[in-house]
Amino acid sequence: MKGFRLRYLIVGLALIGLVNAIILASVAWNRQPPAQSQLLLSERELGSTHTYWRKDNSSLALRLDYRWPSQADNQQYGLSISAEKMAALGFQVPAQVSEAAVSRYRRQLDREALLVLELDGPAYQREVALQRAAHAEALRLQASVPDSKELQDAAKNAGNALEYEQQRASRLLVVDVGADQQALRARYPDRQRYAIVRGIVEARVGSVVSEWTGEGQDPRPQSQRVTWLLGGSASTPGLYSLDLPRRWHAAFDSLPQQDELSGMDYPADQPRFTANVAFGRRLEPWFVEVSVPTTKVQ
Amino acid sequence: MPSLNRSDAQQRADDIGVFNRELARLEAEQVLCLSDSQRANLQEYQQQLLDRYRAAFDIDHDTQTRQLSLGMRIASFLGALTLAASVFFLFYQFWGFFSTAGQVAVLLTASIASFGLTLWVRHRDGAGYFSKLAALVAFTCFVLNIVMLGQVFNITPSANALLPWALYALLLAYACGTRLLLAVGLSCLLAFFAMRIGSWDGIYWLGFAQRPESFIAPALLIFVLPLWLDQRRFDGFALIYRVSGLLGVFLPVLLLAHWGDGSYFDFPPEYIESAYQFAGFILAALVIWLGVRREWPDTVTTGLTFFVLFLYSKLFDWWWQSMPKYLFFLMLGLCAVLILLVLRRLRSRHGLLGGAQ
Repeated sequence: MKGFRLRYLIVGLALIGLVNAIILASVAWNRQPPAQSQLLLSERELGSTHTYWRKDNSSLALRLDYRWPSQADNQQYGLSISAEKMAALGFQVPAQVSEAAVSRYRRQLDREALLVLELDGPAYQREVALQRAAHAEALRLQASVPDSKELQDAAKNAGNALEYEQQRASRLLVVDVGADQQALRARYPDRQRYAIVRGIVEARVGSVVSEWTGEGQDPRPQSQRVTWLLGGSASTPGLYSLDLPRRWHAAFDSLPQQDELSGMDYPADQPRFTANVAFGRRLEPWFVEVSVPTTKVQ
Repeated sequence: MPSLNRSDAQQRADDIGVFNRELARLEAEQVLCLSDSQRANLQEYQQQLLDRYRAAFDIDHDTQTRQLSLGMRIASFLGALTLAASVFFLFYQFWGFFSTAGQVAVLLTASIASFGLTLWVRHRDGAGYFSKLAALVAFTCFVLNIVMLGQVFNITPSANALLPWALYALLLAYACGTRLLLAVGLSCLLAFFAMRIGSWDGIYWLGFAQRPESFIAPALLIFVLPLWLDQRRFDGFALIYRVSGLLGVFLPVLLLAHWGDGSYFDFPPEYIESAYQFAGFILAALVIWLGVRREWPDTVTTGLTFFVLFLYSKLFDWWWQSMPKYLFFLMLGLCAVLILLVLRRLRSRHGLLGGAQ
């Protein structure tokens, strides 16, 4: 009986030790220099996770905020990834689009993929340019009909959107999706600007009902009225919550929360904090350095 | 008592009680009369046997102790759940106050200490109420160990954690005779293998939940496992294997019988649903037959339950819209009566569920 217990003890301790050793070894391997990429982010790209059980949870985690580039025609119905790219990722994209083919396409399971995130690069500059153009157009329209309250509001909203884009919106945008890490890195070699992260791609379908321009009631069958748009979207569950080590908790806690910022005057060009985030060999991120500027105007 | 477990010992003790009561009746009716020496020998033998069982398994020797045991089992289960929850929140409450190295040390120490404590309590606690409680806390510590290391180092979520959880739960279950942890371990194992099947060829691992067929092959394996690995020394373990395996087969079949889109097969959903409805009835009938043949009441009950579920869901599909509600429920009631009649016939013929014992 004693030997029996000893056997359980040895097996249990071996299991606990082995599992912890494997995890810690994989972490060490991930963090071995050089890092796959290293980005200098600010509060624009790192949001608080706002844990609803904050009083029962003393840890602190930040969420990596990134976004997809605006669609040029604003007609893509949330399809961030094109059908061609979906086919390259291993999804079966039908050559002939019919209702049955769309249904078969939609029921495909999510696939693992790699996302390329670009920091403050051409994709972000394009977003600023789009907002600037929208603001200029709104001002032009307002000037053409100066008494219109509606156009005044539209111009004000466009101005706010431009200011948000220039000063507070995330500068981190998804610029590519692929399955081959080496090929993506060859295409985006700047490791201070482009991070490759793990993601999950989901097949999605949008539909557009074409308007009937003829006389009387629309005689077309349903299949001819609807145009199907095939594509996909991606998410990154590994980046929803990045643990902030304790040595930066105090500095971080001293920062005003987002809802307190309206009553304060922060210099627009000065970030509330900067964080150097590295992505290792397993593409898992960690904080290398977090700094809070000392010059704060109240 | 090499292959005797607590259930066997309790059964023997109960049989002794029944035997003594019947003996008293027979003596009162003057059908049988033992001599004084025979009576003394019998009582001495029975007493020795019961003392040995009490020492080894802490069995209940009368109705009162049995009721108290039930209360202790419930208290042990609730205590284990609440202690596990307490450990969970304790970690999070003070988590942020440790450095990264401190967090790793705390997690590892908690796992090792709770495991050691469980084995120590098991050594001292013959009945197992406290060791089962400690085992669940140890399992919680190990789960937190892996989950929180993942959080601290921002490790990409993966289903690989299910394998060590399964192995650890099974280890604790066998060390402490805990059926709850056996069920937890088998569930983790089932999910792990279903995930390995489902994540083939670049599919994201959580996709396995959208294809219930991934569960069927590993569940069948779990069902037949006690036929190869003798579980008689472990009280009720074979039952847990069989029921877990059957649930792992029946639940996906039931789901697919109403959700053809969830299948791997690229056929119209209505064909798939019909095929699984048919397969569900056949499978349930086979399981009932097997349970009767092998004298596994748990298997018969599970098969019956799913047979009734398949039948009622099919009747719902056929008649709920077309029939007046009173007629629909009348049909369900008549079906229940029919099932009762069939079961009674089986019971009298084959001694199903102890009918001819």
